[in-house]
Amino acid sequence: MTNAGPSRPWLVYAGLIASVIGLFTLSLMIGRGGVWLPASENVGADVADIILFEVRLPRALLGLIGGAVLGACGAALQGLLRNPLAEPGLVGASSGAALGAVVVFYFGLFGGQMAVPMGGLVGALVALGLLYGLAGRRPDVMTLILAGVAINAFAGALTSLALNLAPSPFAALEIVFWMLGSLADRSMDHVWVAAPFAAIGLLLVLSTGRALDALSLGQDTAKSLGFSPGWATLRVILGTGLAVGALVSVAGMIGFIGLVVPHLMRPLVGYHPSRLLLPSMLAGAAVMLAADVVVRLPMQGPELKLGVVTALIGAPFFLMLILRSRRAAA
Amino acid sequence: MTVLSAKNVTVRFDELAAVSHVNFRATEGTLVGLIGPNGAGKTTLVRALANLILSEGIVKLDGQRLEAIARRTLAQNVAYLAQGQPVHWPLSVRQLTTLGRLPHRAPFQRHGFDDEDKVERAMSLASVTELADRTIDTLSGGERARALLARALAVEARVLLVDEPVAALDPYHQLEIMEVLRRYAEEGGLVIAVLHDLVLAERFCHRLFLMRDGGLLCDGAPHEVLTDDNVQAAYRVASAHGEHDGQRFTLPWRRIDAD
Repeated sequence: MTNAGPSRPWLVYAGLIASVIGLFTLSLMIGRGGVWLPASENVGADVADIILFEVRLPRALLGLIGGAVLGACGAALQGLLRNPLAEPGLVGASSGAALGAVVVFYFGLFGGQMAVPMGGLVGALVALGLLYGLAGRRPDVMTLILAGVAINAFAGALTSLALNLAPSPFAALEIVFWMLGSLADRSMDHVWVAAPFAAIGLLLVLSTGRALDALSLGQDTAKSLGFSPGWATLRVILGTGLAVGALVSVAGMIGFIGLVVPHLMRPLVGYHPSRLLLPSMLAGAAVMLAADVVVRLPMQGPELKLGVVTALIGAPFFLMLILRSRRAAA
Repeated sequence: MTVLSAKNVTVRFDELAAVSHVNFRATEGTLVGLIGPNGAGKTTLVRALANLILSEGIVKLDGQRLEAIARRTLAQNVAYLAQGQPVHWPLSVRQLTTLGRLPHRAPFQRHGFDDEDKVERAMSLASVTELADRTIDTLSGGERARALLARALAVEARVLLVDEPVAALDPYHQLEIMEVLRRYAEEGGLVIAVLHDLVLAERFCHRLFLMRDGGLLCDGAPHEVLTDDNVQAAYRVASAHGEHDGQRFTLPWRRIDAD
């Protein structure tokens, strides 16, 4: 293998930006069952406006933000942990967010439609605090992974407990459906809850590019090159926790995008962790927008959940990537 | 001129002192061989000199304590090549070498033609120019060691700390790398290299530090350090000496029982 990265990175960027813009527009234009909004003559202009700005715009924006968050955080975590299997769920914030939201469901704390996202945010922050509490003051990568695994397991157990003890089958079903992950029926309020955390998280994560490059030579060498591994770790973990926690709070669990997207980008932009961050962010947004268009295509039956579709497509795809790279290595 | 000095440098892991009370002053233009048996504290001392671990005592670069020097300034002046350096992604040799220029780039500054020249120069010094576009996972052990050295050379630091740079190399490349390190020193750098091969150490180094049990047993010119008594005290081996091309060499010859 003599692949040393791209000769024309701008071509990759141009393609990705065009895809994101195209898919964002498509997401605004296409409705349930593939209905093309502007062409439908049955609705008046005011109704069309409501559909466009109050139904589809929040959905498209959340797809854009959420996909960008998952792609960038996945790439940063894989760089930080120097492990191609890392994904944003690893830091425990998303299972914390899910648990927080489920607690709101379970105790019926429906203080308006924003109670669930708020519960999710609290859950994500508690999980992040716990992660750093467990990992100690000078956390190394291995301790952080193990603490994240423990938090995931514990939050998962508590979520299962809530299902187990759910007062009615309807409550349980509601919890399960919510956890499957979806962008349907979200309002601009959801966008405003997620956007600030996503922005802070993305800034933190994207600022670590060079430190991640240096870390590909291990902690000691990164330090000798003038970077602080601890500071880079804090930025990636905190950024991922905030951004992904906020996303899960408004959209539920959406898997595989953070894991797969960096693998998609490596053949195009090379293995440098720093060069992977922005393309993964853009590609994450494109993949999420595309998947969210796919879920609304079927005319009949309940709407497909976004998390189900990303996993359905993502898992076999990931397997194919692994098999292909193993064959290339052999 | 003194570049690097150590005063009473001690490193403890829990209560155990891996390095204890090391003192030296080293000047520019010197290739120092850091030798000693396994577990003598060579790697720990080098890491302390690179400010990678906390140590007691004082390490100074140009008379300034390492802790007082800004991280980036220190990184520009002291380069470090770890023993068995990992490379976690299949980067090309050129990409790997370019990482050595990171300390010289201000935040948001892209890497420029000046850097490219220095990367090319480092690759040519370590004779990996032909391998520039190969990825690190496709290299042999020796090629890999040279590529890693190129990365450290690319920093163009005044002090170069290298931990076992020739351990994985065949004789040809061992000699080649030792020549590179010696030239780096003679062009004005201070190189401290951890070595196990006494013949290479004696042949190429201007000065040797012989370590045992965390302390400097002996510090001086190679022929002063590699005496029968010192070699026996440090390594528990009897040595044989010879001469070739007017240069003395020392061979570890026979184990001596501990009692």
